[in-house]
Amino acid sequence: MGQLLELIGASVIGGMIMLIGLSLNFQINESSREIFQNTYTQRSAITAGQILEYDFYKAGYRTTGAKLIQADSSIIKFKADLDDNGAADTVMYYLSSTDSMVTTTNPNDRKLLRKINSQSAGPVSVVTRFLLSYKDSIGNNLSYASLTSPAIRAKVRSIRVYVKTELPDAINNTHNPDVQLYNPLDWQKTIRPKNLF
Amino acid sequence: MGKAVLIFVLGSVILFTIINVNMNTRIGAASQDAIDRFSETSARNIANSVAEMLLYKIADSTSYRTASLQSMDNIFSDAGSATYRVIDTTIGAQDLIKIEVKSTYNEIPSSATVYASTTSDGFIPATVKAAISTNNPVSTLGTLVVDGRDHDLNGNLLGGGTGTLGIWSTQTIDQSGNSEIGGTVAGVDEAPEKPAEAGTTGANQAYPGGYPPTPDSLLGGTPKGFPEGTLKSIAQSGMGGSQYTTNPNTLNHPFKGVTYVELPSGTPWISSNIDGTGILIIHNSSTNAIIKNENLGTFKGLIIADDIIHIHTTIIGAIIGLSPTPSEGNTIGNGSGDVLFSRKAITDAIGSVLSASNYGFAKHRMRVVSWYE
Repeated sequence: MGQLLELIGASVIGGMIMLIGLSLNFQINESSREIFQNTYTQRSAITAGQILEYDFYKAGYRTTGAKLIQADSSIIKFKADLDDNGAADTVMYYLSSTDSMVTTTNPNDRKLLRKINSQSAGPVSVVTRFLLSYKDSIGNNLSYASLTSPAIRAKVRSIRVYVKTELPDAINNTHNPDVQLYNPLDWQKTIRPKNLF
Repeated sequence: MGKAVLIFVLGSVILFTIINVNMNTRIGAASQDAIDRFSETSARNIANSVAEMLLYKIADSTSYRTASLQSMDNIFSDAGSATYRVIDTTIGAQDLIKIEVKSTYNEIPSSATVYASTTSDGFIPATVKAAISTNNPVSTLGTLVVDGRDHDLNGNLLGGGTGTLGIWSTQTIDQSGNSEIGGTVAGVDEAPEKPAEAGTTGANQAYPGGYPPTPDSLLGGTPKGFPEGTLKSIAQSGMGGSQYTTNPNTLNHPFKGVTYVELPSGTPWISSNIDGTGILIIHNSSTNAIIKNENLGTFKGLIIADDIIHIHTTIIGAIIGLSPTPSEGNTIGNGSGDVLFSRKAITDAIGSVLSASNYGFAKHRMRVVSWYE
């Protein structure tokens, strides 16, 4: 009888420990996944930011004539001697179509592309939004329509860059399963290239 | 059974430890990303700040240079440091001061390289309405090319819609012979053609407040740093290779700074060599100083002449004519000459002159030519 009670007791305690262990494991896995997802979007934004800063701070460096060739909401083309070799390069940033990311379930993600001179464009990062705005020397916003004029583009002194990154696939939304969550992260910065004068 | 429970518990603890370590690593990586990003930004700020400090140091003491690397510690915090040097260098034909800074913050490196000049920024005077701006009727003959599109210092077309008109005059403009005129109209570059594209010339224009009568007033007068007599006194001082003469045969080539030729009334400077840069002035108090048959040399900068006739060489920059009644009617060119508008040539020319009045305590400021970060 005593052995039977011991067996039952041990089974109950063992079962409880097993349940606690499984629950703990599940929670840890969830947290780990969330951290991984956060790190993914964070790294995507940081990578995009680092590359954008590297190029944008050099806009106009050791170039002559028009420095900003095209300035629109999500397209920018400028001249800069990126590698400091005395020859001006033409740098262009633009977004691919959402069709370029067919393997992900996120409907808004697309590649942010960087094209140097006549080389084929390469991806900088995967983003869901890339928005540029332009200001003159006293901080007035310059409208995209006005920036088709070379004379207005010559007035650009600072460029505000906004990048939004999201996960390629939706995360579990336990509160509202009908709403797809992609763990968005915003990065924005106003860059004042010292050679735009 | 007790042993089985113990094995299970031990296994769970090991599993938990592995997962925990893994999670901590990921949290650590995320934190490290943030720290590295902060350090990157701080390192860049240190490099730029040190470069700015050195610019001020050179501005206060223009002879300051250090070819060997100097170090600076405890910038922003004890995690920030920088090394720098300041040397002379030449890029193209331009003598510049190079400031090199290498910085670190939390062992994350950054750098900044600044090219600066002790000469001031120039500007495009309001009177430069075109590659050729005159107060008299203009006629182009021969194969003269007047191009108001923007060019570099070597006469290469830059384009980009940053040019100006080909010819602007308060009176008539006549395009004859095989001469070609081009320019920039409302941001659109138009190549030199005969007949010129509509809008690339501006005839019978009115100058607000009246056409300026002297070289100094043409450059904007006192508000722009050119009170009456400034250009002549700079030329007479010899600053930066400037020259003043009443006899053009005494001039040395290539021209630099301000070259001021004050011809006696009615005495023309014929078959001239205008090789050089800067501001070339042919003027007298009667506004009838003549420069005729510019046959030799390439001039880069701004020419201000009472009466300019027969351009047969290359001028990169702009020309401004003063006299409303030129001696030989209106023929500005009748052979093979090129007048190529260049913002760079004009701003460099005026900038070099402005620098002459930029010395003294709290006056001399550096001009940043380019900044690599």
